[in-house]
Amino acid sequence: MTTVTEALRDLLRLIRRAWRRPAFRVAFSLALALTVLGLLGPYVAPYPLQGLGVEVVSERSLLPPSLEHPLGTDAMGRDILSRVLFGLWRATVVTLLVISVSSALGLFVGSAAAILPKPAETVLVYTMELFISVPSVLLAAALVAATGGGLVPLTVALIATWWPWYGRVAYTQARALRELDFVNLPRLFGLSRLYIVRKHIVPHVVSPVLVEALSDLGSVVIEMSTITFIFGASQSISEPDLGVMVGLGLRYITTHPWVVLSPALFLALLAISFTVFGEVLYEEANPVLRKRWFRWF
Amino acid sequence: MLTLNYIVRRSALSLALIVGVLLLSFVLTYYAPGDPALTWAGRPRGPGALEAVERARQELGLDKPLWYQLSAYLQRFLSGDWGISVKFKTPVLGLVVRGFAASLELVAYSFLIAVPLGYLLGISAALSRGGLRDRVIYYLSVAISGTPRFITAAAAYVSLYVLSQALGTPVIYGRVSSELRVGFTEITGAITVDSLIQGRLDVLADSLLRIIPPALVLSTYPMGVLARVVRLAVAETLEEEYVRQAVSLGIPADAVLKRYVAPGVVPVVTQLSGLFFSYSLVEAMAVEGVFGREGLGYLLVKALESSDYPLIVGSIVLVSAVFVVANTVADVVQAKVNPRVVV
Repeated sequence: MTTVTEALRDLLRLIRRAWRRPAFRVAFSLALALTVLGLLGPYVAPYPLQGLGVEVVSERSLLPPSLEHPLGTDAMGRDILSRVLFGLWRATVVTLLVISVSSALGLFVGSAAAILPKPAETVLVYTMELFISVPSVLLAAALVAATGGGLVPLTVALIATWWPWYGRVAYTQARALRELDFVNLPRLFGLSRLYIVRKHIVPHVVSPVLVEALSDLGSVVIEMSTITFIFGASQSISEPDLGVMVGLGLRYITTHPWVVLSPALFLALLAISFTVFGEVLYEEANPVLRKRWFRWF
Repeated sequence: MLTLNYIVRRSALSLALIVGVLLLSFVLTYYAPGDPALTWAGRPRGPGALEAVERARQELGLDKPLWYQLSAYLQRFLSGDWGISVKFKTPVLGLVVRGFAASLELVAYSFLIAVPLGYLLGISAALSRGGLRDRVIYYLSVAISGTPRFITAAAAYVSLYVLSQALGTPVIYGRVSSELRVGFTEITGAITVDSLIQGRLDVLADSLLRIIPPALVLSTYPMGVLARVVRLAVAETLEEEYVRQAVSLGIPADAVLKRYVAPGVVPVVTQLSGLFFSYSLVEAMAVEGVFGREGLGYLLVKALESSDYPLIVGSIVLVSAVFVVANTVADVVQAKVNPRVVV
């Protein structure tokens, strides 16, 4: 457990250092606010049943924004604010889940690959290569076609295509460690490889993987919504998803722009704030970039 | 050192990876929940459904032992028999190759735009690090690459639509205008290449005009990320002793940048561009949809509508295999450029 708390303490220190930069402050607050809004979304939505897409009233369709429906209603007469809040829940929960599961998986597999015997190492490294080369949208499509849709195939496909990136980072970091004495001597003591991975390699690899994972939050949001945007109508239209909402709303963009503008705006805000947050953190973690530099020659 | 040994070993490994891709698709086919034959046949309903499922069962060889199924599956795919699409009723291989060529064309054009621009922006940002230009390039690249591409694409499409309505010019939609399409035969599936082969300059001009806006939209992601990574790589290279040494020897600044700094960054650019491919392809499918271009995205939407499992599995196999081959070639090229990467 100490390794995790230490990594978290490092991360807090990093965040405190990055806090001095105004762009980070804005992005961090926005990302935090949107995440909290997303997590609470289903509880604060004014019309939960319309948000879920269960309640459809055609008389109310395509109403412009009003006091009753602050962001208007969509083509099926559902309150867009509720839809956006439910969609935000999906986006944040799936993103956090994908990032945490795939970074943990990548961390473990990558560190293990560096210390296992050569054949096992080769197999693990090329397994990562294999999953990197499979586009997530096609994998998601296959899983959706096989299981009939929903959130699970999407999450599984995203995890399957994201973990090898962290596996690579962990592997390159761990490979530099394996020649060092504090990794080699316990081997001679007869300690198991699993113990060494857990005790001596993971603690040194966890920080870079964590920073990498946090800087990818924005990309995961984008990739997830891109997939649902492509699937669009072939997904169930009742599912509240920001990508699907933008995709289905596109045809109303000239006549009823609010149908597509608010989900697009929320999605863009979420993605941009996550990206800026991750990028500044990544930059703070790289000592070379922290230095003020001018061209002296 | 680039040796024959390295090339042979790398090729053998990539062949193993392609077999791995096939195994993955086998697992996807056979261990999908429910009856694989039902899924393979596209969940048919109505009269003839039983017959279709029975045919799928024979095609998949579900009554044979597992090792036999596996070897039959590998043999079938390696000999080019990828099954029949449920939706289009034609062999999957041809469909997927054509769709993939169309998407690849878009991705290739977007990279043609993104790589030089991202490279130049990254270098220019790194040379004034902490300054105003650096900050502008940095935050602009983060904001642009942080916006989902399909939103940028929708905005670009709508503004182009409004513009063309105002000017009275035809709307940019699809891959080539329908009048020009008549009598035009596709060879590779990439229209800009085909028209050049056949010497049809009118088709080339039309298709280029239609590919540039989506390619520009698509290029924002690789461009933004490349600019940031090149900025980091150049910043690190500028700290190196050999750069300091070169400067102290009195070598002109331009030559230092061109001969000492840039070569260290080129491998980063090539490697990263290779890795972006898979991600860019996902976004290309979405952008294609917005601009009405037929490609993998269009195929996928149609396939999902009628649960066309053979088509989806076929596209996974083709795209992943091409990606593996491309990565192998990139690795070999990189081994030639930068001998340190060969372990």
